Amino acid sequence: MHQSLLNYKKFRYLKLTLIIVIISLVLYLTQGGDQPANGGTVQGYILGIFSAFLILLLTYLGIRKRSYSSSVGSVQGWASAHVFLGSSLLLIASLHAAFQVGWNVHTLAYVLMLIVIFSGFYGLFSYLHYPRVLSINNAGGSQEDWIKELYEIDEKAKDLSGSCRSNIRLIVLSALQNTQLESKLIPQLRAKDSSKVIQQTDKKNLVSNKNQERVIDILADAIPNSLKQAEADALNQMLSIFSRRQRLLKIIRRNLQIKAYYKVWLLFHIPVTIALLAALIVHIIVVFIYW
Amino acid sequence: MFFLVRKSVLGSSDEFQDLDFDVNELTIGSNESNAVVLDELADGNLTIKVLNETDAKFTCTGSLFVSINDKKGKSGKIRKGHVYQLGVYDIEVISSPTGFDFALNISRSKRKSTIKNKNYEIKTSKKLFSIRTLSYITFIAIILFFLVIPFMGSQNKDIQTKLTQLPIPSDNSWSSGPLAMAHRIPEIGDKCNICHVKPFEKVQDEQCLTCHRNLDDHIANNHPAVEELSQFLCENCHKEHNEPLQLTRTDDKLCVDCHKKIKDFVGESPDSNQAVQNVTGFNSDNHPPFRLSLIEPYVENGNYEWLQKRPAFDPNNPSKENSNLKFTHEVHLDDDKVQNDDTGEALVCKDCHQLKDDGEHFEPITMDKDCRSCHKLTFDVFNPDLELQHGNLRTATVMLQAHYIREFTDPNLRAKRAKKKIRRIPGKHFNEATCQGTGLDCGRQEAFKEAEFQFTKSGCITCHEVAERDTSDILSKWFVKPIKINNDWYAKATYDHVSHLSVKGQNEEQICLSCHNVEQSNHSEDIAMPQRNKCLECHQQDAKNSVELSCIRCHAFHFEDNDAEN
Repeated sequence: MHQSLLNYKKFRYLKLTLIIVIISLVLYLTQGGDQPANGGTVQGYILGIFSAFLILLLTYLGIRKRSYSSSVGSVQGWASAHVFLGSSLLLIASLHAAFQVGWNVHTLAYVLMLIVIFSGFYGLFSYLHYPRVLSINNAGGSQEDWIKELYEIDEKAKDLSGSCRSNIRLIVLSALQNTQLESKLIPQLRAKDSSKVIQQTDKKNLVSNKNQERVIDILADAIPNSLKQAEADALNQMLSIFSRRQRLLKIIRRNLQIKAYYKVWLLFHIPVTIALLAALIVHIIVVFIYW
Repeated sequence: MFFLVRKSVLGSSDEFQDLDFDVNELTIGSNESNAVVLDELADGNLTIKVLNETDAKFTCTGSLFVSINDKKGKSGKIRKGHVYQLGVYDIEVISSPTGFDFALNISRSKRKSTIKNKNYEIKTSKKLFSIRTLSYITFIAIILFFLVIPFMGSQNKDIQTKLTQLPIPSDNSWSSGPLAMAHRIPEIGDKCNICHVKPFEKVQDEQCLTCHRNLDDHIANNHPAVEELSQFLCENCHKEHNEPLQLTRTDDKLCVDCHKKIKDFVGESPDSNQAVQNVTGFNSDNHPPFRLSLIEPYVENGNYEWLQKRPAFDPNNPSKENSNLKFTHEVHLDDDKVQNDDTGEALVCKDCHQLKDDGEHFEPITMDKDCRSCHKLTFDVFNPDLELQHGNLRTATVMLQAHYIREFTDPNLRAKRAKKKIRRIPGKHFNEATCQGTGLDCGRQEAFKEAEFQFTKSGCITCHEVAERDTSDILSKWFVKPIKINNDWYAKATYDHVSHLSVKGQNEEQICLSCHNVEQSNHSEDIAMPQRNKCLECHQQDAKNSVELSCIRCHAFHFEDNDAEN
């Protein structure tokens, strides 16, 4: 059986989580002595302290997962613990609060925790699903390989364009120059291809060259009209180069899109986690300010 | 000036294009206005002015520059035999063919471009919405709006007032649950610091007592653990902001924490029969048998007093009531012997025992209310409407004497009495109709006889214990012992009769008798109070189908005992 972060070491952290959940349930059910079940009973305090400890631990695990140089445990182990213990918080913190909510800072912390956990579930899905998607997309290569190849064939296209008529050369150079990879998040998420190229008749205005289709069409049309054999050869070679470019750019953009998904998730999960830490601090302090 | 420009078409010297220009200065650039147009050049142009056959002067505009061996220049000299770089092009000054003043070979550079196309670089700039920035913002915002500002408000009334006007959280957002209904009053409102006066300190009794000024003591002054109990705060037992709302603790733990080992609090009792027993719940193992509250008469300094006692339960030696009353429930519940005056039916419990509003105790039994309708205090068969006064021995005796003296001293009354024909009534003293002697002597004599009958045969003696002295003085010969009927048999407990008077298939009478078995009781000293086992039939702790009781359902919290009433 393939070892993933879920079945890590024969579900070690799932078992640990189940034990913690059972202990928490027992604690919760033994309440009801001096007052109704809530965070203020002895059991409520224990569940609360444990929840807070888990939140801090899980936050640390989040850091640890990214600190590849650390020797404390394995990354996969920490990730597995992060997922299972994080899920257990759904129950433990709810038991601590005895399922009571209100318009107050305590519920704020609780809601932030729910948001972090549920966004964590999306993160888990991403970490389980997208590596395979990336792997299929890259087909054994890597993003660096594709970009390196892109630079190389661009250079080749530039060289070859020197053998063509001026207007073809200008179009080819314009197509190369106006193909960019997006640095901004939203275009990356949309995997939008905003490549442009000059028009054959109007050299000053750029038109869409989405998926390099326009330049491929122009090159294909130009081949029969070649003036020289050398130009026809160059056009043929450039046609295959731009077809390759088309493929490479799609792979690269899909890679960027998937990485953008991660980034958006982190952009949400981490700040909300930090907000949760702040709300947790406030929750603990105010409980004792107005004891 | 004639220039020859040889342009390599395929980027090699295999195919080239010769261009000739007759200009003073040769301009090269990407713009069409230049003599030599090189598409891939950046903005600006290169101007070449010939100095001699081998040398020329150049000037660059815009972002163009000429370089050789990594030396860049905007202007300078170019010389025959050298190759200069202009953007992606190589410009070589070659020997001028005949008829030309200066010749250049321009080709696309064979050098690999050291400047990479930056189109494919993913720029990661630090922006406002980076993970780190967002994290800082959310952290600071929550600490500020939910801790710092509300705390400032809690410490300063002006800030608090402003906060309530603005959509900013105040210390109200710290509430862990709704206030109990009783505390939702305008004086408290949303002002947390009415009760929470000092940060990090529990609510003090002082704050509770600001409103609850007339509150009775929660702990009897003579309670053995008064010192320990007085250290408790109101807050220890009265919990606010709970959900569901529950202002007062009603759990057994409240009591059992101390009562499970009560000697630690009240010490050893010198009388083991009177020692407080440990309690941990309500079943035959962890709750002691009920201990009756009895009242015993005693005489002190010639006065009759009553002493309250709580003897230990002894099944082999049941306690006896000592109320000085003579009474039999058996006779009174026998419909052959006693019937209700109005209905003619047998007496029922509530004919005499009327429940008080508290649902626990009963209205006191009184002669006038409960007995007189049957037990009339008539004394003179010649005056059957006259009754003795009840409740005051001396008044009754004086009245008796006064009546007979008047009967025999007034000639008219004496004559009238002598003429009356009265039938003898069995069991009733037949008073004299006539008398030989003075009216005073006859009256005294008859009064003494009647008193003797009342106190020794039938009358007062029927219900009362009467002591007799060796004297002939009618006023001091007999003494009716006072009566005090116990009205609180379990003074340390509370009980609700009303909620127990609904049992399927039983009428009220049967329900009463199911706990208070008095049908066979022939003596007033019989005590018909149910014991622990009777309650356990329905209230056994941890039993199936049992109505469990918490301690305070039966025991009030350390109040004074209820006084037994007449």
